Amino acid sequence: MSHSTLALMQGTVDLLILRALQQGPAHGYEVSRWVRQRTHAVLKLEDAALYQALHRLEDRGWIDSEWGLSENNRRAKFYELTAEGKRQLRAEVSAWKRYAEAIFNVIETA
Amino acid sequence: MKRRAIKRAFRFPFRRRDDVRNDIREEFQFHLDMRTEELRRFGLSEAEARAQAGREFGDAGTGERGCAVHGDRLERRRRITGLVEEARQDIAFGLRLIVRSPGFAAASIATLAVAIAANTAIFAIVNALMFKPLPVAAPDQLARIKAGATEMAWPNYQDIRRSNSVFIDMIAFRRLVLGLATGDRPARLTGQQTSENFFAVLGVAPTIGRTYSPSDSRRDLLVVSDRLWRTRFGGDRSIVGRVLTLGGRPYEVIGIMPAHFRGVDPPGASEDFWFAADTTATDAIFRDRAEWEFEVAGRLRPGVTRAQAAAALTILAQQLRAAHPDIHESFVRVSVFPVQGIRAFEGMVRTLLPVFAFVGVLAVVSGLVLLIGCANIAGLLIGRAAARRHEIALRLALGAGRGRLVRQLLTESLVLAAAGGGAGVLLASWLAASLNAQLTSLPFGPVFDLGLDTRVLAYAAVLTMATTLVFGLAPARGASRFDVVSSLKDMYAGSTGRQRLRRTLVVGQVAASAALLLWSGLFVRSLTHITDVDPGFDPQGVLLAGVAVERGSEARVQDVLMELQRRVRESPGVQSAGISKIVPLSMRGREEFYVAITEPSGQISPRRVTANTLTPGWFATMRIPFVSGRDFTFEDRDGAPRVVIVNETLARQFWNSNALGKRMFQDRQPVEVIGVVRDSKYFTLGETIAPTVYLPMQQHASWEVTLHARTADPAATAAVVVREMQRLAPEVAIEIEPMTEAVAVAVLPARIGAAATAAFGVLAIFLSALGVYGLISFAVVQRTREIGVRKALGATTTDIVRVIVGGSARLTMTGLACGLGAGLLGGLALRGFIFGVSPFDMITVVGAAVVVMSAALLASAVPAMAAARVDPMITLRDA
Repeated sequence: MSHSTLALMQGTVDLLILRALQQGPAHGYEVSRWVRQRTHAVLKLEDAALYQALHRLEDRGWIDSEWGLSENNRRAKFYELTAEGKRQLRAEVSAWKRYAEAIFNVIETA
Repeated sequence: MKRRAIKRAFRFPFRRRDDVRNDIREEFQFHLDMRTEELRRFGLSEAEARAQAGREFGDAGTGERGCAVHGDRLERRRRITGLVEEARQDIAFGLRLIVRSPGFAAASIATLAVAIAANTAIFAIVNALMFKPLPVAAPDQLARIKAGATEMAWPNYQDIRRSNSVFIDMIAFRRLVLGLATGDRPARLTGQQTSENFFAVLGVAPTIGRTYSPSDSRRDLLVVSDRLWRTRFGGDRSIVGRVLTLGGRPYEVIGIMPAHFRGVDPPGASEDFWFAADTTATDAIFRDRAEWEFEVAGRLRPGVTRAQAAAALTILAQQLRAAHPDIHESFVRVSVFPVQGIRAFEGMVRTLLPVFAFVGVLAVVSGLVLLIGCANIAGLLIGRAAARRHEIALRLALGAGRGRLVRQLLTESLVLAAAGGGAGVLLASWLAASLNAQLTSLPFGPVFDLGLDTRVLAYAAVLTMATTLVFGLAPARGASRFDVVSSLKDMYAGSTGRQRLRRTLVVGQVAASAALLLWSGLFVRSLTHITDVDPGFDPQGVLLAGVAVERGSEARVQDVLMELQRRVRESPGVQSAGISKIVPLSMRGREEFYVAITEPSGQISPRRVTANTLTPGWFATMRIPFVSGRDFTFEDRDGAPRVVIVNETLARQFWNSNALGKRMFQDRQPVEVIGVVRDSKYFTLGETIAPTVYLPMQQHASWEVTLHARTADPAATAAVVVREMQRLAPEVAIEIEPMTEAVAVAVLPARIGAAATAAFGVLAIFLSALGVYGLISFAVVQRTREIGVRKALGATTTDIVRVIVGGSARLTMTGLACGLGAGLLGGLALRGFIFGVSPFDMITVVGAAVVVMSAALLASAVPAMAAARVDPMITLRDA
């Protein structure tokens, strides 16, 4: 795989966030760290864009938020999947899998 | 990373725009700090770590704006769903309260339902009179046209219709009363003879069959009303195609109009049939420009106002008069006015004034009942709010906003009001529907479309909301205002402010019911006086025969009528007979115009008079005596000097009772007074007698008239009238009834008024008594300890009762004084409907006062007695 960083499509960011929150409620920094670790920093995602996506998803009703205390006792905003968000995550994951399989098949047989 | 799931017990207050942005900034700052910290742990310096974190973060400004868009939207949505959720909670809470105190709820809802139903039903009448659109296509484009404030001659209508550029088209029509040939004798129908474009211009399709149009060459096509079809033909569809004989001519029925179609007539009017005028006939009414017979209406061109149309038609009228000098000079005064709303009654306002006044009285009465009901419920709510002090104080202490609390209490009231309003609308629609059905099932008489439409429903809804505010706002505000700490500490302390409000409400209630009782007393007393009132004539033993001779020339109509009177007069049992255009006190018609008299100063001044047109013998038949002068004779005919008989009031007002031989001018023609008769009632029993002129029928031809016959044998005379009319003009329909029955209509407003005010008055006094009872019970509970102390100090039961009842008596007296004062003033408006009783009748005033006083005292005595019987030891120990 090339080392050029991949530009991320909006839908991909949404999927990553939903997936990150599947573990349970988390604040924005945790989501950011989770994405960075899981993608081994291949996907270059600016944090500003990540937060916009978080707020957009909240506006859309897929995630909910609440202010609480972080592990180092600072005020932090925690996000959590809503029921609708969970449904959306399942749908997107299966769509992505089908898409990736299809692409993979093409690459393998070529 | 694991956290408990987010659960909302309650929301924090809503965030403003600035809050949203501050939150975003704080969120970003937290992220940057965390990342800096982490990078430092990897060994970067503070400055390097911060720079690295900033780079990773990207453009914070754009990020903030992007987030804020969503944050704001979210906040707006939360606010709305929050309000909805709160309203849902409040409504649920309100419903729970209703279920928990069913007695209170049932009383309030029933009170509101009755009051709102009464108000809504009355608004339905007002709606039918003033607001309902005329059932034709685009009624706001239609306008009635009058030239010289009267009907128009056919040739003039045709000329104006052809040459004007402001109307798309114009229609003409005139009212006809015709006999419909049935088995035994003709039935009397009213309808319209119209221009052939009538239905095309109005744009109304029939429910069955078709209407006639300009392309029909036949002139014997008849369109009938829904009412005629239902009442006379039993709703039989096969009526279409049948031939009916109307006014002696055959017509083929081609269509049936929808219910409530009435052409462009004002509300209340109804027609049985329509047919196109046969303008090929040699009738003078289609040739002569002096025959003002037709009413005219037109459909305005788009963008043309009524004022513009009037101006354009005025010019046409002037040109027309220049070409035809025989046209009356008043013809050029053209007015164009709407076919709906209050102006549809143009020219009839005086006649209808009593009707409007009457509806107004009913509206005021039902409005008062609604207010009393509101006061009652407000009183109950205040009492309940006091009982709920603890609950409310607890909510306030737990941080509920006072605004929020007012909203909650108002919502509870709204739940009550909505239930009452809903029940009220159901009741009103039932009332209106049954009244409607009753009106339309009669073959004649006025019809109003009382069906509830969106306007009436909106009225009921607004009324319900207003009601909620009236009875809910004061208790809710009061409840939210009190001091939390003292309420929690001392739950039993009385709240003087709220008691004052309740007292004011009770005073208002007593006042309103006193006024209502006073009016119902006046109506009831005047009903008992009906037989005492002297109308100035004697309807006993008089038989009425209404006839409308439509066919033939004026001379023929006159001959038929005079001959009919002669033959009836000479038949056995008949003492005297006479014909008049208007039957006094039958409320079916009224004629008024101006005459001119010469003042002693030599100046000529116009005076308004009411009028009737009659034949010789009418005064004798009515037993209206002559003060001076003579009756008309059959020699007072066309061509002979024009004469008039006047009543005493006119003689007194115009000529100081010295009227005989004086002259007045009618249409610029001199008329000589040949007789003065005793005053008699004309339109209502309660009226003040107006100056009245009586014109000889042979000089003022009339075709729709009533024969009056004083007879010893009404049945025989009725048969004679029918037989002779058949011989003279077989197509004419006759309506026979005893005069006593026709005159009974005059007492109908008093009857309805008495029934309505009595029913509402009883309801009002009952509600007020409940209000007093509630107030006193509440006060007594609050004063339990005081009563205990008084008893312990030696007060007897009687003393206690006297103190409590005395307090309520003072309130009642205040209310009574206000109510009787207002009632007496309002009574002046009832003058036209009450008779034989002064609006200041002392017996009624005292009676109303006694009833109100005793009801109030009884209502306060019951809780007072209960309180006085309480054992002082128990109250003192408990308190």
